[in-house]
Amino acid sequence: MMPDTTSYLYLGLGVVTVIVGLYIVSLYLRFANARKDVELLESLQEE
Amino acid sequence: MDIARNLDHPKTLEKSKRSAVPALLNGLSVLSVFAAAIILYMSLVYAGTDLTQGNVQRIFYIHVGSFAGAATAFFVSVVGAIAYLRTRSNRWDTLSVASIEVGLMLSVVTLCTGSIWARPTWNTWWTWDPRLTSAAIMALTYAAYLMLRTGIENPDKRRLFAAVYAILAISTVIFTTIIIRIRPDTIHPAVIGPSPVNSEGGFMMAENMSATLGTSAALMTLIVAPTLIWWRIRLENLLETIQKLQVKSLSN
Repeated sequence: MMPDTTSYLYLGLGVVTVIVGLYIVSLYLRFANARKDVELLESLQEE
Repeated sequence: MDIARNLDHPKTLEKSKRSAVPALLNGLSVLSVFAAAIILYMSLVYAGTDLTQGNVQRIFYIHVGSFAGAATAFFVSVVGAIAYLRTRSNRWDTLSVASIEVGLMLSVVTLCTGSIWARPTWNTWWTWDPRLTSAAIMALTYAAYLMLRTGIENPDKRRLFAAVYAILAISTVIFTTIIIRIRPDTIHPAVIGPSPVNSEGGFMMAENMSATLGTSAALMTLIVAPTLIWWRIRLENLLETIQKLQVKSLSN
């Protein structure tokens, strides 16, 4: 009889989503912060 | 007129050039989303259900695909490291660090999915099997790369250290790949090629399963990993711009 291991499949898919999702969010946040820093530094230099 | 003049201003042009995303990268990003959807569809629908392991076996397509993507990223980091040592051009160091960060993230996916697959198959989340141990050492080696890198303040020394480290660290990837062929006491199945005699949870793969595995590995290697690396390179370039502006501010 085939074992019911579906819950582990869902767990795996959930974990993959969290890891990849967190990485993409971290990339986005680091981009946003870096852009703000660049703009601030450039505006300071213009003054 | 003022708006037109502002748009033509060199600094405005420089800013828009910096924030503009290349069309190829945009295309690759869209393709990556499609690739993820294809991998999911093939894993959950096309591949069919393994009769001895049940639905959890489907996670293996993501497990192998993410390892393929991670290994590719780590090999790209070596290319960047060797090119940096030859040319001392910062862009190669940027390629190397970006590849290692993406490779590490995909390695974590590999380890987690492997652990979840192992629980119903081997009746344990983790065992100090040669393959699992070498994969853990590989991930820790690259995590240490990122940590040690931040600890060196001198940029030239940091890049030199990072390049040598990246070249040496690839040995952990090669070792992880071949260990299931050279150690007969591993219980990790060899999905591709001959299996060790006593591997457990092995696959007698049907054609649709092989196609799913191959597609997952190919898409992760050729589309997803390169796209993530490219985005990470752009971030690294932005961080370098900040450093240059900070130095400029201090010198003024």
